[in-house]
Amino acid sequence: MSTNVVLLVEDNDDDVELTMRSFAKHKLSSKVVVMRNGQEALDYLFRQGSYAQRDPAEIPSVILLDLKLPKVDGLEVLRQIRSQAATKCIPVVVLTTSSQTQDKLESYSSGVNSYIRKPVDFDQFMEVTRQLGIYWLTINEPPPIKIGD
Amino acid sequence: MSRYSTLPHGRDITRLFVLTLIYVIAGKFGLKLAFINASASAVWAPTGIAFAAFLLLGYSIWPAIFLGAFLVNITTAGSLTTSFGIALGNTLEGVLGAFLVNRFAHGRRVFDEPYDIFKFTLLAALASTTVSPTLGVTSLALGGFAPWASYGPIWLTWWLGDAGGNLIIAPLLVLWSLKPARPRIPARTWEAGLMALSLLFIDHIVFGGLIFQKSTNYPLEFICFPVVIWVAFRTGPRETALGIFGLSVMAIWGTLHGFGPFVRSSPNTSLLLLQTFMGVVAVMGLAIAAVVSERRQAQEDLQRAHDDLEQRVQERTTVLAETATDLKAANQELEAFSYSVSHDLRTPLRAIDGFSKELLIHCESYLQDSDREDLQRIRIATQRMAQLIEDLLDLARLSRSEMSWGEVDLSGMMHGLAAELKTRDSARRIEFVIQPNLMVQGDARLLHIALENLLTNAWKFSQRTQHPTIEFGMSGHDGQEAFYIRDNGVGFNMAYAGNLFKAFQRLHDPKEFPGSGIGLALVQRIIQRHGGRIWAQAEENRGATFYFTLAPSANPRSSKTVDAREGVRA
Repeated sequence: MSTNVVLLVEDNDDDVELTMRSFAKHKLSSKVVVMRNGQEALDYLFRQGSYAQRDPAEIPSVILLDLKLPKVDGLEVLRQIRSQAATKCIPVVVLTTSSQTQDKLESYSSGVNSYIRKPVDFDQFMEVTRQLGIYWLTINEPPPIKIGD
Repeated sequence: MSRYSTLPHGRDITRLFVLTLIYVIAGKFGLKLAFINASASAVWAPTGIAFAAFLLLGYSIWPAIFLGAFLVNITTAGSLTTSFGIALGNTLEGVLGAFLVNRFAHGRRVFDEPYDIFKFTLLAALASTTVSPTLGVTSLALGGFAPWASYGPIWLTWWLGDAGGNLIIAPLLVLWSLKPARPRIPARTWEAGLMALSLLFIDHIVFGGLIFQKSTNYPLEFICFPVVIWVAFRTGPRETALGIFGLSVMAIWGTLHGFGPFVRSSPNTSLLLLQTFMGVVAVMGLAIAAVVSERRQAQEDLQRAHDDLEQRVQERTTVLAETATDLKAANQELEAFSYSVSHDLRTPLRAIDGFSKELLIHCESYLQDSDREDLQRIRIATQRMAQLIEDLLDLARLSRSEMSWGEVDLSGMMHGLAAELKTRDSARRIEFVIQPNLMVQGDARLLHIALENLLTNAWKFSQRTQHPTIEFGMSGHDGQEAFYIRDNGVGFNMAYAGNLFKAFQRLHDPKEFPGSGIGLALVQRIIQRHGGRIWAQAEENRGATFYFTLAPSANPRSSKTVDAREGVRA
């Protein structure tokens, strides 16, 4: 089932702001949850730490993951998502500035669904986020996820 | 020089006195073995002592020798005059021997080289020793202490005694007084002991009557050779001289007691035969010892050179390993740096661009035209900055990436690129002239980037030409086969050619011909990585030609190889 929730894992305020504006402009998601570092993202996803009490029904339709993150980096977050039964089916899209071959290789080997490089040009960036939102929130069929406790 | 010119004093007098004493004792002992005449002995160690003293201490010690010889003789037989004559002979003999050896046989180092040992034998032991018997026997005959009729036999005894004494005693004294010329082999106690025992044993057999009680005609003396040779081979010249001395002392004792192969009717004859034999043994032993120690030295030098080399190789290897580690570290640093550039430097650009755009939209109604223009400038600059970062990263990546070698069809590659360009800009009419079958060894991906940049340049800079033509081929250039890409476009002034391949250097206005100026820097880097070089020839408004070579191994096969291949195919 689609919750229409997007989890954005991004430490850069400007990028968060621009992404939020783009989503708002295209009326893409009812809710964008923003996590500022890798550890926070894991806490949220696995309902631990300060997110132990959050609504278990809130399962993101897609996770937009930056690679260079404080505390736990994006690739590690991706590996943990894929290693846990509760999260391993959630679509993950790497949304990063880096275009290093090594990053792409490791992301795909770790089971990322898509790798998108954030364009510097804002017009292009808007276009990318628009397409991204349309694709993952409306075109793509999300995995059937059992809402466990 | 003072030794030769001033009178001896203090310590020198003591030295002279001691030397005199030694000389007298040795002389007295020698004359105890004088059988043919009271003053002529077949065993005359003082000659060796005098020679060694002149060689080691200098000619100024002559008074000690003279006085010693005089005292020995005056207390034995003869008159003041005869003793004076004999002493003069003994002194002159030593001086002459030392002079000749100093002059012709490396002086005190005379026993280090086999050649010098032979010179010593000839000059000092055999030649200079004729002085003493000549003066001595003449003195005795004149003084009436020896009959003129016996002049010959006495002279011979005297001479051989002196020669033997010199051959056996002088090497012993000289060698043991000086530092060994060459490093000695580490002493093996048991072997040295075994040698000493063997010498004793052999001596007892040959000269001690251990097996043959009576004098015999068996040439037993030859048994001495193996032992002496053994000593000479396994130790040094010093030990050999000592061994010969020991053997000689024991042999004299045995012979005088009637044992051994040299025993004859008269003890004088016996001793003469023995001394001759011992002299030969001495020369042989010393020469062998010198040769062997020379060889050992050479071996050690070789070993040392080898060790040095080994050590130097080790040092170089260490330095190389360090360099490799440094290089690796530098590479990792570069990797981290470019990662950081790739990620961190671009992120703020997006914010600048994004919020400029947001301002443009949201403040539409408040903005003057000039404000809008300013914001656009910001956005354009941001894009340029992003492109520059991108290009820099490309260049860095190019330098780092591994080369994957293989056969590359440059002509085919060029056809493909030309077709691509034609599709992208179908409105343009450009003639391509591409030489077929240009095959090289290289990295296909990198060469593709290089050709693409060169071709795109040619395409770009010939866009205002009436009938643009781009040629690709190979030609001789300064005696070297080089590939070329030629266009008939705007060209450039050769005065600026020096900046052509530098990153971000442009020879044209970007408004006229857009581009960041990274292209040729990339191309050059690729050509360099292939071990080749690139240069350009151009004229303003007459087109430009870019030449490049690749490493010899990357160049097309020689025609011979191609023929051979075709032969196989046929």
